[in-house]
Amino acid sequence: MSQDHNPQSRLSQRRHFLNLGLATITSGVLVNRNDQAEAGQTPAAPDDQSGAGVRPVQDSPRRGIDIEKWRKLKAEPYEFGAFGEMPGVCNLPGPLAKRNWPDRAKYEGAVKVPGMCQLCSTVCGMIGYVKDGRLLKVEGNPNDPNSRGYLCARGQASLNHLYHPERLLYPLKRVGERGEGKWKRISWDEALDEIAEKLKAVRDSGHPEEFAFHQGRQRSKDALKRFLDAFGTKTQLSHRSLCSGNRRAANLTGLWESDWDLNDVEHSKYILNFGSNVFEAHQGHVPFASRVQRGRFENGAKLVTFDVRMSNTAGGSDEWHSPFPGTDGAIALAMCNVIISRDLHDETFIKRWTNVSVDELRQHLKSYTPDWAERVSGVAADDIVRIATEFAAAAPAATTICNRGSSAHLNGFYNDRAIGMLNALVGSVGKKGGWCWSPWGGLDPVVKTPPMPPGAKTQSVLEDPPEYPLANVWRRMRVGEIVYLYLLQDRAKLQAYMTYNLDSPMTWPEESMTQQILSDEKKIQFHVCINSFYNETAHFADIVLPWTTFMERWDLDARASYNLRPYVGLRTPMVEPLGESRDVRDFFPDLARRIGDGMEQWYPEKDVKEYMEKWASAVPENPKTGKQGLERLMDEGVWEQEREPFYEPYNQILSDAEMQGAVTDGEGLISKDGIGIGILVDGSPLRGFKTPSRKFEIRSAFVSKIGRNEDCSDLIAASGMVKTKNRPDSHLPHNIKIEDMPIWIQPRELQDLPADELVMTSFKWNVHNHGRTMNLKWLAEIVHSNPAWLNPETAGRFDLKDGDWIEITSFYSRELEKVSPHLNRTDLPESSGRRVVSSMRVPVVLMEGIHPRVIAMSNSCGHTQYTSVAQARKEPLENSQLAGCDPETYQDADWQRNMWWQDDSGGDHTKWQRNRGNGWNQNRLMPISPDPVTGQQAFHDTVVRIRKID
Amino acid sequence: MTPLFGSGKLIELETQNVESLATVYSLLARLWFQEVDAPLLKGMAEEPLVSALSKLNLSPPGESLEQLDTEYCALFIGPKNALLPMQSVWQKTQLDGQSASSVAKFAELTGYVMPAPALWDHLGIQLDLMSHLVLVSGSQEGRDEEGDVAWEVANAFFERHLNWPSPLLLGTSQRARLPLYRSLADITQQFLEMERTARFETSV
Repeated sequence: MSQDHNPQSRLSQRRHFLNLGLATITSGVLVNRNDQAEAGQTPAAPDDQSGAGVRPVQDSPRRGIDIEKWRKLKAEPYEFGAFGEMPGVCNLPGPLAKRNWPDRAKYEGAVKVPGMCQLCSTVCGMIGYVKDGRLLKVEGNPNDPNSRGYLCARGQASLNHLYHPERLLYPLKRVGERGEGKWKRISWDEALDEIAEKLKAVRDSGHPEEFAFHQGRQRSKDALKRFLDAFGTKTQLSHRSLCSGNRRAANLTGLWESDWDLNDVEHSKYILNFGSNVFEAHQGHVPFASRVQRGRFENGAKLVTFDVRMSNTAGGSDEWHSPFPGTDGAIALAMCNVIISRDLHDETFIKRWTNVSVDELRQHLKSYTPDWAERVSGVAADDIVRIATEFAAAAPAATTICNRGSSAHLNGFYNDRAIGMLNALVGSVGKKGGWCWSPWGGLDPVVKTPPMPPGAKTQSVLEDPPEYPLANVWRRMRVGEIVYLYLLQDRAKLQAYMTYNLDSPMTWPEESMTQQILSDEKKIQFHVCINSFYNETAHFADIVLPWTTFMERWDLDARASYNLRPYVGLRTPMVEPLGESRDVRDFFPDLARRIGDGMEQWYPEKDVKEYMEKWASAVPENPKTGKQGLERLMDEGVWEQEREPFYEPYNQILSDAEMQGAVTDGEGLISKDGIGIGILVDGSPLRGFKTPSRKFEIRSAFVSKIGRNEDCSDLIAASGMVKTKNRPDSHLPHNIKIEDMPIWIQPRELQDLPADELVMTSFKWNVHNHGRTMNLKWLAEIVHSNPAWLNPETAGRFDLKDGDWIEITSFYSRELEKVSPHLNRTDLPESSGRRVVSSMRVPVVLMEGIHPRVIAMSNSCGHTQYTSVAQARKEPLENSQLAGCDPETYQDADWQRNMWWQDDSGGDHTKWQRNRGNGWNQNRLMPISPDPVTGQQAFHDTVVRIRKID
Repeated sequence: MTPLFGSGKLIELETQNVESLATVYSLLARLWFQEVDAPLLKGMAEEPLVSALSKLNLSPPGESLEQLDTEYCALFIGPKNALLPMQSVWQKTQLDGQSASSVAKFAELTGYVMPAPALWDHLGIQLDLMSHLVLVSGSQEGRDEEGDVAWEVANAFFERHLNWPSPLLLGTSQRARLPLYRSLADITQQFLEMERTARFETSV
């Protein structure tokens, strides 16, 4: 491509090009835009979302140049004619931005637009600074009552997300074999037509349940539910069981009306943390962490953390104890034992507001002594006694907190019930500074969506696996990790599969089986992937739809509020969607109309904004601004209801109106029309808890009966929670014993764990979520790799030193082989009589801050398809299509300067340098391992063996 | 085919040249902006275009539309390791960067309307906007005040927004598996070099 400087050659070349121009005109291959105008076609506007833009270009309409404007631009101070910067064009944060910081002119004229982050589940309020249609910066929205203006590192990296050069911008259709990675661009019309045709065929087949929608993190619940109900499938699959199923089920067992404990840590004096890494992750991360610190530093609270690993939360606590994995419940029960046996309990609360007596508790807890707990957990009995005593003394301003550290185990349901019981024993349930909750899980129920379709009535074992009695009883938590296994077993099939913000090969256990099923066109006949980026799931799709980022779409959103008051937040497009990316709110109506057969009736609005206006219409007027509804939210970003925090709701006195027509039975239970509404306490009609006993249910007859498939209609009616259901008839052959009281059991593989075996655990860093942040260069620079953590004592036993490499081999659970035989795989190899999940080679780092029987790896790492940054590639892969080409590709100054961690070892571990590469996907090692009661994936119980690699 | 040089008045020739030049920008814009479609593929295989292209070493594609679509996607869309034809990707490694805003401001200044939704600093849009500016500039002899300003603006635009693609064109030339896109990269490189020379070395 060298330039010929010979004048004759240049003249000849010029002739050739001019000839080309004339030939092009003569051939008429380009549509003249003026002809288009004459024919009534209008050039598509830049914000046209139809995807049906006018393609060919020639002869722009001859319009005048704004000469006066040009003269101003080229004069001082701009001196544009001298090729200075185009005035008013702003640099986004990027390479070398620090050299021109702060650029005060940058924000002149910028408009502040509210939004909500979605880089984790916490949905913190954001404000975007927008100028000339570009987002220059984000910061926390101080109006947000939950996040209060804070925004973590993930949120700050939103700009990386929005303007990422490897975003999906156009619909793509697979060209080669599924998983081969060959694509072509198609228009939205082509994509939606094909999808509609396939979905219509599913509907016409009489098996609408064979269309499954599989979501990762999603914050557009109404839009998804509307589409799926209108279609007629209930097969909406989620990741909840990989996340929080046990914790939610434990909370529901005691409370019924909420699956989410909202610990009032800001007003606490004592915070007892079982395995939550609240300073780095947690659902509710920033709002919760900031309140923990306020509780500590403004209210004098003590923070005690139990975690097998010294997380940044554990390290920032007043005390850290490292128990044996999965023994949180044993410690909690021993603390309960201390509290009861030493009469440190709240007698009044237990008697009035729990459904067990102190004597029953004494009897139940007597074997759970501190010495016993020390034997199973390794935590000193003296510490257990001391902490239990301190906790009780601080009550009612005392609360437990917990999360996956305690719940992502095969005994996690019981762990979390035992932890919850601690609060009941000291009477901190619902109290200021104590263990609270709210009946609204997210959005203030004041706002109502426009009319929704009736719920779909289909049944699928993928959505409601009969083996897991508590997965779908109160809420539809489902058992996400078994989906691909059940497809492998031909227990279900999918004619159509739509994935949404999902990266299951990365974030689901058993990576290889997930890939196997996703690539099998008999198991999954048609796969549409909706995502902002190409990832490990999109790689196995038939059509990929480019999804907007959370800075380009609409939602009303909120999390469970730590202020214990409901609120409504607004996610709004800060900028126009880039490329042809579209949100489901935008294209589901189009798709529904194409499918037809009545689906279209659920989309009467002319556009998304009209829908949002209807949805937000109940937001009241702000007397200061006169704005209400969506207009108010656009102004403020959020609205919080003015009401007292949701403390001690059980003590609310039922009004005369509520008592009108009510009857009270011999046990004081108040009901109306057969539905429980309250309880008579000391002669006063009180709301009570929304449980069958109207008390906090330490003992749950319900869960035991549900496990046995017994009719619980009377209990459900007494609770007043009419949405709770008996198990369907399809579950009848699947009886599971569920203890009515909090107990502690240990999976058999962890009992007397052999010396050469370790328990694998996972964790999240403060700059990442599980599968979607490693593409963000500001975050990847901070954490990009995940060597295995080992205690030096453990390393010594295996003759390992820091930086050595090991091979990890993981095994299926022996406990589940016995209690969940439907999971067994006979097609896999054995080692020493055990089924092997997989093996993986990783380097080790030696840390005192890890339990000696534990090996830990962070997740988020090991991507194979998800952007160059996520793969730590600033240079093309060997063996890629660029091999041998030595091309000049685009250069990112940030990468060149800062992506120092590219791994050039070529897979040879002897050449590997510390902290290089993009890490390893731990889920290659993790078996599908659902808690038999709820289906929660036991991410933290995997038994592994390791060996040193020379 | 209309002769380029020969009989006729100079002013007509120059006008014809301006239109030809603008059309070359438009053709390149079209080829960079989206995949080849059936009418374009047919036109490229027929006279007069086939001869004009062959003189620039571009033979009509022998591949199917699907093969061409797949190649275009792999090269310029992705979803992995693509050579995105957008200026801010190459200069700032981000979409819709400063250069996109700058092109949008040029468009506003010159009354240019984007033919289809796209990012402003897509090479296809930049070439198309340049085509517009070439037409507005008109021939040197017949230029009025607006034409002079348009010439000045066109040069400023070229300097800012058509000076960047060399690495993209080199990468495309090296990576393309099908002759069409190798040739497209080569021709675009030659054309932009020729225009640069004409605008900044041999003309006012």
